[in-house]
Amino acid sequence: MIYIAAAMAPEAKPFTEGLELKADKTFNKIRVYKNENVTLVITGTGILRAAASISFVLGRLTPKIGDIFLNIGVCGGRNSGVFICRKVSCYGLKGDFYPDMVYNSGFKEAELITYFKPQKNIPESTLADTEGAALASAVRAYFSPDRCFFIKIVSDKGDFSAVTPKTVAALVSECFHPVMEFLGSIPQDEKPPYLTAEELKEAEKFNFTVSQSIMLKNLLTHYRLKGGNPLGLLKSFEAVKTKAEGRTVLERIREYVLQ
Amino acid sequence: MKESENMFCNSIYYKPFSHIYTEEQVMESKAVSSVISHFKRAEIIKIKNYRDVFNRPNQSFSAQKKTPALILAKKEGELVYKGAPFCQSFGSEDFYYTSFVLNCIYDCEYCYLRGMYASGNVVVFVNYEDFFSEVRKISENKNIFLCISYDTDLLVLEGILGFCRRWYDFAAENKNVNIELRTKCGNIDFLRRLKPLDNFIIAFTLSPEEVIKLYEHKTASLEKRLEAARETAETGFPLRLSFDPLLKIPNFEQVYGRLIKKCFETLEGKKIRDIGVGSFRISPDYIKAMRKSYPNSIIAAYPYENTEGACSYSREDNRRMLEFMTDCIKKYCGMEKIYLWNT
Repeated sequence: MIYIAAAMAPEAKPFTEGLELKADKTFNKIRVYKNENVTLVITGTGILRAAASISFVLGRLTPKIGDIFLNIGVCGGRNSGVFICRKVSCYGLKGDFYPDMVYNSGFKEAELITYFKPQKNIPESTLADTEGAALASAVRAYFSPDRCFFIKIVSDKGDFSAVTPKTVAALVSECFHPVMEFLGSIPQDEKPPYLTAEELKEAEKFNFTVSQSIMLKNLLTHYRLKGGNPLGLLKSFEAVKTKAEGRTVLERIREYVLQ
Repeated sequence: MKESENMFCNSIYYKPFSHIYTEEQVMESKAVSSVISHFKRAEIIKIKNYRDVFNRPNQSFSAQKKTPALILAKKEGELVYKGAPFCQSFGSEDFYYTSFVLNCIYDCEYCYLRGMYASGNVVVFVNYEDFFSEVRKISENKNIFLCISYDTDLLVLEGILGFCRRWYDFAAENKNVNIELRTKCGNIDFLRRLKPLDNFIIAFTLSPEEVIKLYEHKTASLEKRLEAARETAETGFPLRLSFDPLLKIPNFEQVYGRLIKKCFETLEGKKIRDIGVGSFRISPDYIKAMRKSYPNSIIAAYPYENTEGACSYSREDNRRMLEFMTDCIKKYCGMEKIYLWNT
């Protein structure tokens, strides 16, 4: 699943339209749009709104290991272009966030500074917004830093007079395809060889304790990686009635797996 | 072309060390400039403290390990540690270890670093003089045994860091410090023009070619390591061989038997200072972390037995493997040269 956060509707529009996302009405206070693979949140502008909205949505949807987070939106900056942020910090506060630069997006890199209000004087070689660091702070508990991306499009140099919803949507729209292509090229995590539901069901006949079940899981994971068939192995043993029988079965499975 | 080299051609991955995080306090130091000069196209990112990047929770060790970033920092606090109980002391009572570098550019599937660190990135401490002062203080009135290449492979980074040479110079001036430089690298260029020192031991970790291909990713081949070991002995530096960790693999006796035979066809027993032999063992916390980071690793997934705080094969398996190795090795050199790590 890819989770996308955009502060304003015009920033989200190219993604909601391009990916045909549908409004999730179960979130009645926050605008959330979804399809099978993508969840997009319109967080609202400013540090507090951004942190509160994304925390609420992620707390309810609980992302899995390997899921991706993207913050997309416009920002202030001295040079125009699309940038991927390698450092996200909040002006005046501690706790900088460093998205891991593992995957090459092809976008230029920059450091993003998040301010409490829009900035007129933006320092050289930095970008300025009012949400990024808040989002970084909220999402770091859910996503590994190699799967957090902050992609910003410069809309102004600190003079906001020319920035309109239409120009914002047009700027974001231009990078919609390259951004989705980049996210789509990120390798998925390897699927762990854990026990399947069918194997777990089969193992119930042994009435193992919690610690015996953990030992069984480790043995069968190793067995599967060696090329064995855990379900076949489990089926070759009959159900047990006593704890002593259970211990014997576990020992026999261990001997078989380690031979 | 090796798989590891191929990965970066037209790849989604950045090249290793494409990004260098540097602590503000060392940004202007000569040591940092020297390291950065090897990576002219790298992006430099200023940080306050290396822990902000290296020690963060929720990192993906395996993703970072594919293309590690470099972190340049100043180490503060404890700089030299007492030898860990899982490590061999080779008969020395005062056994210490220290590391200018955290993490390794090699990627051995059984390595405890996979479970020890939260990050797959590589940290280089540039305040080496502080480390030297600390070692001088510790060794003031006694002989010590100091391992300098446990949490990394210093030799493979020598072209960039030059730390092996600094330790060599230190050893030349501090004869009561017996330094061990352990490696899986096959390049010993830096030794070639140096005068051998009795207290500067070069230790090669040797594994069967089958194990190297399957589990010791990016390391030098057995052939190259043996050639480097032979040359080390020729130059007169004390040579240590380390058959550690032994892995319980199919056809153990044939595979490890061939390894020993090949070793002693290349190396003369009398030119070897000593030999360490130990089976795979690891702390329970580290194996747990390894299983999380690498769920598909057959080494991590093995159901080890936890004996006195160390996860390893069964006592019987360990006894059998160590006995076999000892029997093989003693055909070529005396028992007094063999040090065993036993559960």
